[in-house]
Amino acid sequence: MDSFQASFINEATELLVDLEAALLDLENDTTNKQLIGEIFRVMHTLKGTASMFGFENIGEITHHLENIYDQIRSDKLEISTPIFDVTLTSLDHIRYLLENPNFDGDEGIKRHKKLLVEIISIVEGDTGNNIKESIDSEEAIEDVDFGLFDDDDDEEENDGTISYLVYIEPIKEIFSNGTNPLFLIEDLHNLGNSKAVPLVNKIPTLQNLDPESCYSSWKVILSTKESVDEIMDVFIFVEDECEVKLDKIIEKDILQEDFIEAIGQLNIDEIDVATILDTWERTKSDEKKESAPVENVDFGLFTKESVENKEPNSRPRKENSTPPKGTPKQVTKPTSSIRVSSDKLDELMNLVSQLVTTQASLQLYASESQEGELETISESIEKISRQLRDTTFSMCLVPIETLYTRFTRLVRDISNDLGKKILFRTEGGSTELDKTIIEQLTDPLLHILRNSLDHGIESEEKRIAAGKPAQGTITVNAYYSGTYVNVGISDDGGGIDPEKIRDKAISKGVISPDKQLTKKETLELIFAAGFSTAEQVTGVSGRGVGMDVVKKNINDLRGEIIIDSNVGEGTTMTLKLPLTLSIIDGLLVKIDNIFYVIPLAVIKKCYEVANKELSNQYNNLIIIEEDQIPFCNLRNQFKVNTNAPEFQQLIVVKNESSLVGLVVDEIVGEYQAVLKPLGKYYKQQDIFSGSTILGDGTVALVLDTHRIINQNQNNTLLS
Amino acid sequence: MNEENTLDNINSYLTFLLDEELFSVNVGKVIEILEVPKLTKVPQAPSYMAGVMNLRGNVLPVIDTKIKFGLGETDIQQKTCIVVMDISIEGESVYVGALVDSVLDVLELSGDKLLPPPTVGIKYRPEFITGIGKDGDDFIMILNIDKVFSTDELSILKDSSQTL
Repeated sequence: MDSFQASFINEATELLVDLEAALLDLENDTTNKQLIGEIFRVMHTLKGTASMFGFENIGEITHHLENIYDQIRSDKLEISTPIFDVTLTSLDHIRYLLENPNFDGDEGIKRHKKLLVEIISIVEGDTGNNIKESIDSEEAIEDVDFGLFDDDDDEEENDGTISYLVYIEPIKEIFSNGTNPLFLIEDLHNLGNSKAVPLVNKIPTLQNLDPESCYSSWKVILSTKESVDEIMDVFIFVEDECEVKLDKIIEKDILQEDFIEAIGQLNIDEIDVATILDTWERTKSDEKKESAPVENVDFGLFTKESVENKEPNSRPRKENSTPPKGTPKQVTKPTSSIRVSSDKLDELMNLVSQLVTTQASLQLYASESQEGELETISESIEKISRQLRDTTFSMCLVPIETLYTRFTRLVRDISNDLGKKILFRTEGGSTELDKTIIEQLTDPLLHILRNSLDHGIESEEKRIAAGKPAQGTITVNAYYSGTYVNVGISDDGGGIDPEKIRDKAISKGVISPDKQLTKKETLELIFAAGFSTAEQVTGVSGRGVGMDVVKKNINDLRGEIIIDSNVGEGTTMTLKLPLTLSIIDGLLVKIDNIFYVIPLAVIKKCYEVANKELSNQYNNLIIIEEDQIPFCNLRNQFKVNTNAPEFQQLIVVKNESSLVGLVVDEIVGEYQAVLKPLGKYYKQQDIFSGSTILGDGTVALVLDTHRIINQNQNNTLLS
Repeated sequence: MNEENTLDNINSYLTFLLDEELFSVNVGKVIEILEVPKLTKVPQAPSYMAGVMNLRGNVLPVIDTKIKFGLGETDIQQKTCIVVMDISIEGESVYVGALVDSVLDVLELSGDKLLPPPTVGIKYRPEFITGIGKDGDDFIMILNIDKVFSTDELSILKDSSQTL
């Protein structure tokens, strides 16, 4: 049972994320029926599974929430901010319940009760007042998911029977789970009158037929007095194994003899809400409104009509038939994705890295062996392993959108707390980053956002006084730039005043009063440790542990943070992040007999310099192209005692905003390095960000240029 | 816990030589024995870290055991081997290679062949030794390999408490 509960918790957590995203979208677009439908569905699933796995408390909350959205859906209740508030608070509460299934502690119980009261008061308090007048058909047509077609010009008495079109497409492997889809149809039949038509065009020829696979799908026309929930409950145990779509046809029992006959003559692909209504209208006018329903359940596994004139590959979807004007657009979630534990992905990643390394040695061996055949094989293996590597890497990529939902929520909550009106915009949500980077990006990004909200955006009065719109705007924008992803966070707030920063830095002793700094350098002071310019420490930000930690986190991801701010106009922070952490393009160099890799991304230029030119320099400065460049002689720093070659290589790298030269013996060439950690034994040697294995099996060390330069500077200061 | 029990049940010990001295480790800890490949020395690392090597696509740290035991740097000869061991550091399993002068034998040591560690008379600190094995006239130091290779200390000799 425990493992079931665990998988429920997993699933519920994901559902909550979906729900939160849908809610926040809805808040911006309150008329979007599709979103309301989605929210309702997710809540319903949550309610069903929660009760099934013994999370009654969650079931209770979602049950009442569901009522709210049921009323909204049927236009009996108007969407309002209190509803959003109570729903979002409930989501948090559900998260809490998931973490504390036993649900002890007075506070939790109190909150639970309070929420229930709030929810119920929304449902009941407004029911009487806000029931809308019966919907006329035009409006109803726009109703997306459950299409409330209300045929007004028909005078027939309605006894509460509603006809639905249920589309059931089981996955191929459904039999292996012991489910017989025919039982589902039988269950549907038990709910009322039904007519089932099978879609058998996917059944392959006998030779290709796997007797253990299910190839059929069904369209069931069901006339019942039961609610949508009751119908969907039939599928509660097969949610993952069946694609089920439910469309309301009309609030009447349409399953009458003539109609059934007429439906039987239709091309099965054409059966959709519109054609059914059409057929019904036709048969209705033919007959003399005989309302006695004829029980006719035809499982029709072998109905002949369904096989005629069909292209073998046409998916029996409703989209295939031209939708008549106003027919709701069907949006189904793709079922073509599976969940994989990240451990497995890491393992796969690891194996692929090994393959790439092994392949490099094969290539080396093949090119030396002079055997044409072997070289051909090696080349095709190289091609395959490259593709495999790219595919695997792409599997580990996650769209940054997953973070955006959290941010939207955070901005909403904080701006409410601070009493500021803020428009939060996100762009480039589909930009993908390595999942490890995404995980480690959350905290820094949240911090920057909090800063923007708290210190960046001014109060409403100030904004109006400055001639700006009362509502502040914060934009998060992600986009690719070469092998990097840039994430920009901009606000249109007050901006950062360099003078203020400077004063603060001097008073905190971060810089000496006589130090001359450019504007950019001054702004970068906010990344110094122990620096917080907030005049008042608030609960939101300004504890003085801030931007330095952000910068460190970003640096650890081999990323950069760039700040740009204009007083009165706003601030933009741009995070420049590598696409992936496990592979880097590097320059392979050699000192003595050891290979090192310098990340290409930081390299500006390389020069050949005579050894004596370097040793004659004071202060380790060299003049290159009329620029003074400080340099680190890595031979000295790594304590290599052998004699340096007559000519050495000066590799000029970017270090923050300045250029620094690194002196090595020899440049070997470009190398694509799969990063391997050096492990616990070398954790003190953090000037190496890792190691990589070369084609011939030797291990090369990957340099962290930033740390090397820092170490060099500290050593110089000490000596 | 389980691993400890399994190790207690294995009475086989791999013996090896450092200079003229006999040492052994429980075979349950030993993954494999390798010839010495090209090692990449990591600059600025403690002297007992001989470097890193490629173990089938993974990077394996290699420790110069003799420096740890106060016997000077290993001079790599034909018989020099790397014993790859699975040790646990702070509860985490880590592979590490140990340079030894030569690998000798696998011995069954139990009953009267297995003595508790003496409190006096040996030059190594007692926490690094789990016992003494007897093979004919030879005495074999049985090492607590988790402790020996997880300490940051330069040497496990009694009189040295110098750390890096």
